[in-house]
Amino acid sequence: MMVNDILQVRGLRLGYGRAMVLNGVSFEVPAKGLIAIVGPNGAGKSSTLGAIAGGNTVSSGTIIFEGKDITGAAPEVIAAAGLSFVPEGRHVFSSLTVEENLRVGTFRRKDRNAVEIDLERVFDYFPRLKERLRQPGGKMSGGEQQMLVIGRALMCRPRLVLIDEPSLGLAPRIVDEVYDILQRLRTEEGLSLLVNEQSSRRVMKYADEIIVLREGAVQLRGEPSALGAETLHDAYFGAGTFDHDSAGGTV
Amino acid sequence: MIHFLQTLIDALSLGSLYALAALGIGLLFGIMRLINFAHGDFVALSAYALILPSTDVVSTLFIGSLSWPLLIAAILTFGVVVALLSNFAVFRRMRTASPQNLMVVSFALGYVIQNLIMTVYGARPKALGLWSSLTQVIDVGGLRVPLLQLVTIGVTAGLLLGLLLFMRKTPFGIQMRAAADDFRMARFLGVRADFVIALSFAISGLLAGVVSLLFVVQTGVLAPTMASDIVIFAFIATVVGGMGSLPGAVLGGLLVGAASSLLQAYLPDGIRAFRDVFVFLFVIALLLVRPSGIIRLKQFEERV
Ligand SMILES: Nc1ncnc2c1ncn2[C@@H]1O[C@H](COP(=O)(O)OP(=O)(O)O)[C@@H](O)[C@H]1O
Ligand SMILES: [Mg+2]
Repeated sequence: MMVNDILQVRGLRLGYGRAMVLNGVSFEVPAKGLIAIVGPNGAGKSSTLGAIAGGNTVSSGTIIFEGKDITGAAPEVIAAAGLSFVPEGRHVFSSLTVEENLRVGTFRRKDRNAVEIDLERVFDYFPRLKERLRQPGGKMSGGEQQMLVIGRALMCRPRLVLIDEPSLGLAPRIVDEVYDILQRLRTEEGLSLLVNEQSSRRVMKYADEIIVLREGAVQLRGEPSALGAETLHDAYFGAGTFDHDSAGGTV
Repeated sequence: MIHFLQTLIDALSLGSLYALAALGIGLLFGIMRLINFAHGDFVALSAYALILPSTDVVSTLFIGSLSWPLLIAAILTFGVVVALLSNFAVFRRMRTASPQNLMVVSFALGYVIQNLIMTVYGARPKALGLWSSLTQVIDVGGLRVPLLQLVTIGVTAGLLLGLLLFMRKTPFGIQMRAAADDFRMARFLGVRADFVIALSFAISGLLAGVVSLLFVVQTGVLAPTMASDIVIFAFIATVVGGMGSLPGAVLGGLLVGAASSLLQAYLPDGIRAFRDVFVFLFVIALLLVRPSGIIRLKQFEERV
């Protein structure tokens, strides 16, 4: 347990009804780090992020954010503590304008006078949002919606942001744009990030550490440069499935 | 022409009452998927607060004896308190319950309130003369309109404008709209679930208070089930307007009110008694054309 870990997840277990979905997941996110959880569909990635953000009920395990135990806390309490969550499917408030979407998370902030400054900063990162302030959130393209929900999370002034599959359904060019901005947010704002992706391909370049999740358990963790294609593939699909002739494909 | 204008004012004032009741129902449905069958009982209980608790046939004014600004403030506060108490005693404990269960519970709560009224005030209807000066008919260029109808329309217009500004311009309103759009996501952004729900109950109770006052002045009668007709039409109005949409609830209320008044005015004498049948036929026809109501909301399409 490192002192400079902003998030520590210990032995997380949860299920929906009878079947367990997470069977003791542990990892940590260092301050200002970008950690990526990758794994096949149904591995439990979304369940993990949802549990950290207070959206899923945990059966056992602990979640420590900035030294405080937030296990079982209400989502709004966790958000107010400085941990923002961008769930899968984006969840733009379609009947609210872009500006209202951005402001929803600001009303409980103590530093109300910094809100306008933060809004300008968000426009700095996502200039396209500024041109669409009065437009209903539901009328935006997929890429714009992804930018809106990341901007919206930033308006809560978080120190850690969880993002579930930011590249889902986006054109490769937009995905690169999104990741470049996440990278900037780390270096310029000192933000810590925990990102889910189905494929490791995209995040290899950006992540400090890759966590491979399959069947509700961490199969492999390591720096991207230290993970060989075969170990990564076996962790992702199960041991012995790596095909040497085709080099296994990318996961 | 004069007859038509008078019918139009009838339609607007009846529609106003439906719209206010429909808003009180639609607000809670939008935020927490609660189809609140107790709303009519909120209205009735607020109306009974005007008189002293007693089972005597003759009513004695209680809050009803206050000067009009105090009376209005007291009844609206009473409506808010009734709704908030219902939330704290019942609905707050079942926030994760299914809409069906919530609805059944609201039925039960309404039944409890109705029996409470019967126990405390008696089951028989009571006459109550309140603000009888409002029932006078005034002459506007040949048009003879009951003053109360104009007051009803004016009060409703004012309330709608106020509510619109509240929902669009204030932090509370924007958070409520976000929660109505996607409750889970709003919480992930720090919107407090308890607060938003309590706020919608408070506004719903306030609207119930307004409806109770307007209705009692109009009819001059208190009865345990006095609001059931209004509320049935208000429910229809929320469905016609599109479940969960507040503009839809208002539109639906006005439309149902207009349909009732126009049919009342223009149906031949012999079948006028069946007016409501025609109103329902009109509603069914409308829903056949637009099954999700006039204003369709994306978040309800997959559920309904
Ligand atoms: N709300 C839910 N109710 C029931 N089962 C769920 C729910 N959410 C996810 N699951 C199940 O939990 C498992 C893990 O899902 P999820 O966390 O979404 O995985 P991933 O994000 O890695 O695809 C899957 O088998 C999925 O069907
Ligand atoms: Mg997922």
